Amino acid sequence: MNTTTQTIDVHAARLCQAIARIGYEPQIALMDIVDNAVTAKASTIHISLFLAPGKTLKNRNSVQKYQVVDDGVGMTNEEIRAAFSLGANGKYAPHSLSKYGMGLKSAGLSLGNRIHIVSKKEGQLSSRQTFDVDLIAQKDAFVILVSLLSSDEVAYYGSLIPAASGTVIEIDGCESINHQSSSTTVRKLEERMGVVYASFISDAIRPLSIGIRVCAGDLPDFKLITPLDILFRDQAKAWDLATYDYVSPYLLLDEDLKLDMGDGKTIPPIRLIAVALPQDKLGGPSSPLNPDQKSLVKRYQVSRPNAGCFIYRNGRLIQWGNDLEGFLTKDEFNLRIRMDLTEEHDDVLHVDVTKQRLEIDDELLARLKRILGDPRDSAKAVMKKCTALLDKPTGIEGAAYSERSANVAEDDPEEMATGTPPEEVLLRQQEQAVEAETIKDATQNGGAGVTGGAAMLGEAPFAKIRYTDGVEYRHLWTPYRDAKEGVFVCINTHHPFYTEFMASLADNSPERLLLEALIFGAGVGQINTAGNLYEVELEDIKKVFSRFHNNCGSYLADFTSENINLLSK
Amino acid sequence: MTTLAGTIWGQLRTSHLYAVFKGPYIYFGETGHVPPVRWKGHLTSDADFIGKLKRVDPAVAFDETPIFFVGIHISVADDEPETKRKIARRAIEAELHRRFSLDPMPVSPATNLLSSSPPVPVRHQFNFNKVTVANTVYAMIADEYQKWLVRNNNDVKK
Repeated sequence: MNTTTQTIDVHAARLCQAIARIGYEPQIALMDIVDNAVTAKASTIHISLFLAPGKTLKNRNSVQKYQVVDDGVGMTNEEIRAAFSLGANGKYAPHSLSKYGMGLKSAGLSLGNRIHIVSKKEGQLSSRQTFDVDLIAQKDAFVILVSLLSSDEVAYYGSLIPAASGTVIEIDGCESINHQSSSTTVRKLEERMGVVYASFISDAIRPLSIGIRVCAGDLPDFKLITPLDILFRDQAKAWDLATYDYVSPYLLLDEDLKLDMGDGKTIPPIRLIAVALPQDKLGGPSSPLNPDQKSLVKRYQVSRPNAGCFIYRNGRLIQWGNDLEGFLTKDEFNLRIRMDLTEEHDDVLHVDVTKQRLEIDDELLARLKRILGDPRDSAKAVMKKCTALLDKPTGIEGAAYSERSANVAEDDPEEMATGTPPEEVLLRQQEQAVEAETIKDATQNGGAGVTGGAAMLGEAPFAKIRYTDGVEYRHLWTPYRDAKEGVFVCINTHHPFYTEFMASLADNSPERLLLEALIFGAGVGQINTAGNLYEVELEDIKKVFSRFHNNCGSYLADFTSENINLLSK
Repeated sequence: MTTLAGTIWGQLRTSHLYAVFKGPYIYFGETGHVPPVRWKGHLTSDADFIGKLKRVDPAVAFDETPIFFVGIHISVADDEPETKRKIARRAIEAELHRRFSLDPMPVSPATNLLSSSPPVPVRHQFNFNKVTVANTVYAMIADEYQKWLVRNNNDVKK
């Protein structure tokens, strides 16, 4: 058979548009450009987002220019042209983050219409070369614009690259591309880069430093990214459900998955690590853990988006929280799995051009499910233990409410729009504070007649609800106002409504918290009325509230007598 | 010509893990008896090895490919309280499935798993390390299987 070859047309502008639509979010595109800097052996990478005039962090499409500066090996003019070419020459070093030679163009064009490069190699600054989509469309050919640097530009780029080598990538023409707000981009970069590049940032021999900033007509300092092992392996304990401590990560799996290529070829095993973390609520207000333990639990940021399989390629995170085709459900959000790949696994796992997506075939998925079944079940058991602990009473009445209400305002809505309070109001508030002082000391965390213990409360917030026998007979509660901490309410532990009902409810149960909120709300109302309603004589107000409490307390006592077994029904 | 078809020994009510091989298929299981009591089911019941194989790959189920059984006595499971022995065996069986999934090469060419892993009894603690035991069991099964493959190939050549 006779064969010939024929050249086919390439429509440059359309191809550029296609490349730009590969599907990057801005933070993913910026990290792809950071990958190139890592490949170029950079030790410092600075990312700047320059806002367009009049735009704020909260505006969409607010970035005028993205700039990524590194101190890597740099490029000559010829090497910059090669970097702009489409497709790789395949000469990447082993374990490189680069693969296809498309990252700069696809990531850059998803951010803006022009990509500029100025680089320095062996002390020699290059010209400024620009990949301009509009120019390519105009010429309908792959061309780049080469501009010699002015003396000002030499000084500017020289200041950006003070070392002997490095590269500045700038992307502008961003206004025509619909992007999330720059605050969202920066937040996602800050949240994720520490995880994505953790192994590079914490490298003992050659640590990578990544800084990020947003410039709104100014040049603020860079905020440095700190490394984060999302599995917290350095704190992980060996798995043992019997001695589970509700605070530590637990190592459920640390094994090599060996792949049989079936043709005698071998590729390195894939390391699999799984860790179960405590439920995030254990770091919250109703948790019985102490403040230090709560703060540890909060650090893990256990949530559905932060769960699943974290897939790393050559040490760089490429997939965040893969659910392995639905194998990991929403019920296992305390399970984190790490899978470490190298470029040798690209074909087996079908890693795509963005190196962000991969496909796990059915056979490998079935194996992974069998391997991860045990860790998944163990993580579920951890969740159940955490839930059971959260449902247990804390043993300190009022503590859960005090934590839960710590950020709730106690303002009098009638007074919020007024300026300095009148003298009479200030006098009344001083009187309230004096009255509160003696009660506060007597009821603070284990004072006479107060349930709960100071040691158990530890560094808990100011006690807003205090259970004490020091409340007037027949009254269920009495409110006070501390000069600094605001309102606190004493609840009568001798009142039948407390002894029969409230005391039977777990001290951190929703029912107890709602009753406490209702009582506390009434207390805030009484304190603010007595303190602020200066048009009415204070003695009259006191008479009104005394009558109110007598009636309220009597009614609740009668209601209790008539419904004595209400909670046991 | 006569060849040894295999030997089996042990007390009747004792804990065993076992594997069944036919062609590219492998099956792991556990039993509280000396294994032949359980193995009979794998040759006759539609719910067990041969029944599953008939559904998955009838050609191999009915062809003349020899079938190979290997059983391993698990004394550490027998050392557990009687009510926990089956749970202990199933914990090792589940771990054995995981060993195979992590690295099927020791039992190559039997790379297709016919058995299903039992649920992992994560709340139970045993007086042995299930990973260590499963690793040993897997290595013993693989060793016996590979030795048999060599013997069987030699027999065929004769």
